[in-house]
Amino acid sequence: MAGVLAQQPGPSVWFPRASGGTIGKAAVTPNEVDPLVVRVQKGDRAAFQQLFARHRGDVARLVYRMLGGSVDLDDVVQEVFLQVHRSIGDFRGDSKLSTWLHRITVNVVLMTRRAARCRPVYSAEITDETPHLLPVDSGLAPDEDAHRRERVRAFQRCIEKLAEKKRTVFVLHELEGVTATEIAEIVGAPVLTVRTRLFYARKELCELMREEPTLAAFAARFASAKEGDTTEPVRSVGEETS
Amino acid sequence: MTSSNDIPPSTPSGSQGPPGSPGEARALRILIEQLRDEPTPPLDFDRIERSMMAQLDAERRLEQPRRVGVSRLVVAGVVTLAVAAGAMLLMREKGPLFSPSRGSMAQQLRSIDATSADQRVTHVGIGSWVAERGAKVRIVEESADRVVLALDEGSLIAEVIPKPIPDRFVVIAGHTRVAVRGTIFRVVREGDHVDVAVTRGVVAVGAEGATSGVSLVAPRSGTFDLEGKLRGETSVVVPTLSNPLLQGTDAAPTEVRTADPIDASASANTPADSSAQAKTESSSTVTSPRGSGSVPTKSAWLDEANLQAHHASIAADCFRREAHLPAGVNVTATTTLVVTFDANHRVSASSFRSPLAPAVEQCIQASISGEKGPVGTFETPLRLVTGD
Repeated sequence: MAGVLAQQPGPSVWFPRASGGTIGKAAVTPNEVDPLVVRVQKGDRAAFQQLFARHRGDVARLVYRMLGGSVDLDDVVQEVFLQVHRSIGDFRGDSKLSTWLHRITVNVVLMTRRAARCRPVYSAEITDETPHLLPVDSGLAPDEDAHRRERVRAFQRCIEKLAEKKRTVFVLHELEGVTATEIAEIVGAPVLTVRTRLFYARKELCELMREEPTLAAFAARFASAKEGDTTEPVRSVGEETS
Repeated sequence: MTSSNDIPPSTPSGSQGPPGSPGEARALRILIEQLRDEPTPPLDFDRIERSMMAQLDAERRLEQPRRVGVSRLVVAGVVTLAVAAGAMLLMREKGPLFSPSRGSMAQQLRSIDATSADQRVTHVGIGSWVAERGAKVRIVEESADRVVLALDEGSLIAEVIPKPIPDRFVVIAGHTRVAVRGTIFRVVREGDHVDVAVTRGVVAVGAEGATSGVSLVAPRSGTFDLEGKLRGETSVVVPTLSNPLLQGTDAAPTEVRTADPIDASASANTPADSSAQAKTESSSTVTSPRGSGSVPTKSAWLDEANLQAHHASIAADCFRREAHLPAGVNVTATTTLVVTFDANHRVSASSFRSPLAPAVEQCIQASISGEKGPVGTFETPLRLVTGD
């Protein structure tokens, strides 16, 4: 099933999914520095371009999931890799390359958000209404697909309302599939703290969903469904349209 | 099927209940999956890469000189460490730098050869010294709080800033070690002896590596052999033992090195050593006579070079005799003696910039009244000290 996280055997593979994936799928175990990284550390320009090509999609996805479409993703992704280039000399393989990349990405994203908060917002920059969800070939009817996109957008708004630390943990764990242990390493917090933040992120999201009519109706449809069934119930005619 | 790999979806640390109703929890899981399936907006990665590489190239160009500088610093640091390590090894092999062993002065940081002219060296925070013409001096140790010189030949005058740090300025001549903390002093090495004259402070003179020696308290001089042993007795030295190249001294800018010889019979501090007497003459390290006017001149009148030394000697003697201080009480007085010689080379006037005790002034003026000297007015800075 697309999007379902499943732990794969072997230390070098991270939760491969039909879509998305995580940063550093080809990561080696800690203390075994990727030869490509070694070349980059030696100043190999081509190696860095190769590293960029290998991880740019994963970095862009994480940036997008953490920031939404409200910023210029190009600039943020570029800043992430600039930071990677500046800091890669310090990478000693103590952690996975993926964890290290996550940490840099999260830091750049947080800096971007903080900078954006300090920046005056002009009317032309109000991006809350900017459509940024792309059409996905979900195999649904056009109206169903429109509903799905609307739900996802509403859900994104809920995530945006989470506090920064909770949102970071939620995105890393639920959307990127990063383990609590690695999140703890990325955000520099104890594992227990990561778990607690994740719990309250979910709890707050449930509360926020109640405030979003689209999501509240969507949740109500599951209330009568059989527990454990995560498949989306068939929507009755007229539901969510009134 | 679960939406997380190691964290229960609805409990913090597995200790609390679900965050929402079962319907909300299931809806949340589906929404997460749907959001996860959302594709990232297409980015122009080629443009990002071009922009990024251009920026990195620019940063590299900017950093190039700095990296070179850093690498040079690193190389310099490594060289310094290597030299220091080598020096430590050498010292370990040869023992302490100033051990009694004769080969202990193998270290040499810099040589000062004052063959043609005086050479002045300043050690910031410690003091200055002048290698007088003809002197050969090696700086064998130099740090922020310690300087060790080896006087191989000739003479040097040093002024050391007073600080309570033992042996912060050391001069070694042969195996005679002259250690000071803060003073103005002169060391002359000639032949088989070393003359040490102190005009301010205290100097300890002894054999290299020895724990005891002779303390010369200003104004005093002594002659020592090259093993640090005192020859004869110490004697009083005039407080003009300075060099104009030394800055910050309150002694007169007297040309002490090129003085006409003063009668050697007055320099009776080393009667057993004729060469020491000769040295005393040539270096104008005059000893104080026990009576005023007892420093005769060789020529009809005192020349300009000897005038200040002569007057300082008279003043020191008068001050010591006329101060009449209780035993154990030492007093220092600073003034300037101004003497004018008329066209007949006789003293027409004399005065003191800062007044001394009337008895002392009268003694000095009486002593110089019959002198003959070059026409003009001459000033002699005086620093007068009672006691030994």
